[in-house]
Amino acid sequence: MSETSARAAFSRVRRLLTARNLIAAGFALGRLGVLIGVAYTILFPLLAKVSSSFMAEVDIFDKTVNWIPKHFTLNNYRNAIKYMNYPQAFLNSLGLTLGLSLLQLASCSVVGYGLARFFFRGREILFGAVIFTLVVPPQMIMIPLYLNFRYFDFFGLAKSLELNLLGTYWPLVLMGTTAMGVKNGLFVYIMRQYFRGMPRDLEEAAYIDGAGAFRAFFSVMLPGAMPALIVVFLFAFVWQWNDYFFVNIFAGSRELLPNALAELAGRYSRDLSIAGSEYVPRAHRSLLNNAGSLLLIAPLVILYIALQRYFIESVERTGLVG
Amino acid sequence: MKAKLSLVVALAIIIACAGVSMAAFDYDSLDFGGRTITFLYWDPANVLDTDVLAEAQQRFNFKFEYKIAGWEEYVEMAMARLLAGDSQYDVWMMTQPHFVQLVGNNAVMPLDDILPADFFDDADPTVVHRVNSLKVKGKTYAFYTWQNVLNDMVFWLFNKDIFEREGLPDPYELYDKGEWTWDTVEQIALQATKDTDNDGEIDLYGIGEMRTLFTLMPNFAKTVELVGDKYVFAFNKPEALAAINLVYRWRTLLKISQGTWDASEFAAGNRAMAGVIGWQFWSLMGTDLNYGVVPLPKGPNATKYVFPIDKVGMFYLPANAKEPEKLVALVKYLSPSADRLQTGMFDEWIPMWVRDEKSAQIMIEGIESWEGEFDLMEGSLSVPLDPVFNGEKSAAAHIDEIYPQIQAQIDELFKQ
Repeated sequence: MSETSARAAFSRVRRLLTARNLIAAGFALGRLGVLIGVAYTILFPLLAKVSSSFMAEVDIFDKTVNWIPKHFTLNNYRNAIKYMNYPQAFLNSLGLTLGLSLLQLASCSVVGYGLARFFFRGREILFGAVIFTLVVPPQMIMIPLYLNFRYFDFFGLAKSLELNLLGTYWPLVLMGTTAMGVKNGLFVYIMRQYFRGMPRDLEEAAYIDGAGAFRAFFSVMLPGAMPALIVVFLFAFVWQWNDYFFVNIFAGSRELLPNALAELAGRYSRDLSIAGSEYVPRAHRSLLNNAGSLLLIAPLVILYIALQRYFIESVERTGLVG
Repeated sequence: MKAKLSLVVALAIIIACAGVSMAAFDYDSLDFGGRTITFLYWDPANVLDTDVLAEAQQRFNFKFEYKIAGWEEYVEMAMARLLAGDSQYDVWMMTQPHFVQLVGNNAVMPLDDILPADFFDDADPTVVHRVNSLKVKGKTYAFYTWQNVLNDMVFWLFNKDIFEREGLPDPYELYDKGEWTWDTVEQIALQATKDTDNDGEIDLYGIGEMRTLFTLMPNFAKTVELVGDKYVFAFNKPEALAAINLVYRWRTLLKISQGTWDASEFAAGNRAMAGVIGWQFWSLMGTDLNYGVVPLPKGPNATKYVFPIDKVGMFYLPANAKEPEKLVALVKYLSPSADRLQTGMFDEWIPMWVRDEKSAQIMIEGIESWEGEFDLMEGSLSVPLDPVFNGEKSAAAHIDEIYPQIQAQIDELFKQ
């Protein structure tokens, strides 16, 4: 290396090592550290589940086994797939979740638009009630919901016609259609806020062109609210997919993934005919449940990986973060 | 005179006939007409014998189903089914917290007039004790169980290797001499607690996690007492205050107790002693830990060793059960017999759980001497004791302070 090029390299290094650059690098490293820490905290339980789902029972009791199983096995997955009746439960869950997510998307958009753009008496109280649904634990409304769908009278319109909708998908469909599904208060809020942020000129132009409220909503506002719609749909899909509470109450007998996961250990025990000694397979049950939980969330993880870009962009554009 | 005599004879015949009809089940005529019988449970693990269940469904013409309700939702699910009229052929499988909440709302059926006189004649004695101890204001609600008592029995474990290494006295000898007391255990724990690697931090504690489950009953203390027709909060009694104080003393004052609920530190060999509930032995089985089993050390108020149990899982019927006599008969048929319960405990579980004969003997003594020692209110009341355990307030002052709120909780639970 010639003396000139060595000098040039030296002065480049000196320039890089200025105080400002060093501080910036320090911040970047600190930020990286925090991000790794937060990611580790979030991912730790998941990684622990992944690790133990490949373990044999003997590994659980082996103090020297920490993350990597000594007796690697796929039996937990084989058993989970078999006893959850996974293919059937997956298809049923997919159909139900997709349908309910679309229903919730439609109903929450309409409600959100109404609350954002139309002035009527009690609007704020109604919106307050929507927000209130977010803080009410589902256990609190369980008994009224159960009774409502056990003797369903079309919201009081046909009192003589009391239908038992329990054990069917109808309660979930009706709740989705009326924006009362899982976390629907949040979706109404997201849509309302998004519509409020859209310029009124768009609707006014549509009205001048002769469009009515519905036309303006469907042709002008909805296409413009695509980021919010994507966020709401994805949230609705994820929460509905993971929901066990409402699915168990209203459709507990149906072969759906959350129900199948809840019954996994029971079905496994019954098949082994080890009745009366429920604690014999306790360690085994935890391995089986870990594998079952991962199978339950696997489609969501795949969905997230495939739609990650849209999801992050949409969340940013709806103003949910930052 | 003759008329009186005839009347007495007639009455005697009627009573005898009633006695006969109430005495035995006629399983041959038991028919549910194809109805679905729902067992409401929070844990999906199978608890009834699969073969017996299959045979019973054919024989008694019914369809069996487990309805799973999460632990948190159990009471709401049971109430919803009751209010909707869907629970007429339900059997509820519950432990105390669910039972206490439901019984106060008149959602559980009293069975004193339903159970035949000889219902418990062939039952395991622990079943009878459980049924009697779960009576509320004299009424019987629980009637059978799917679980043996060992599953939830609380024992005190000691690490033999640590005891030998540190030259600590033999707990078996102390137990045999009746000297297995709070004072003795405290002395042992003080000796055992130390910083073994000299890094300035204690890494070997005498005792694992301490909680009132390990101290109340061994000092003959209770959470509530039935005074007349009313349940009364009893933590202000000297025996209860001493039990609460002991937790504070060992945990905070002397710092000889430290750990988590699952006794994982004991399993890892870092505690000399720990209180353990029966089902936790399944986790210890897989370790190579050399441990012994003794009863919980007794308090100054106790005159004998107590082997309390934590949660009591029992069968109950909802208040609107349609054919309770038939349901009771069916549940008894499906449940494990006294022989099965005893074989499970004595021949299967204990040999798997213990490391030596003396531990097995003590466990058997625990089962045979058990007379229903458990806390009816376990898991039902929210009694904040942290201010005492943290040393912020004395037990007596704190209990005095919170007494009205806790009594109000009890009054609300039992609607008294």
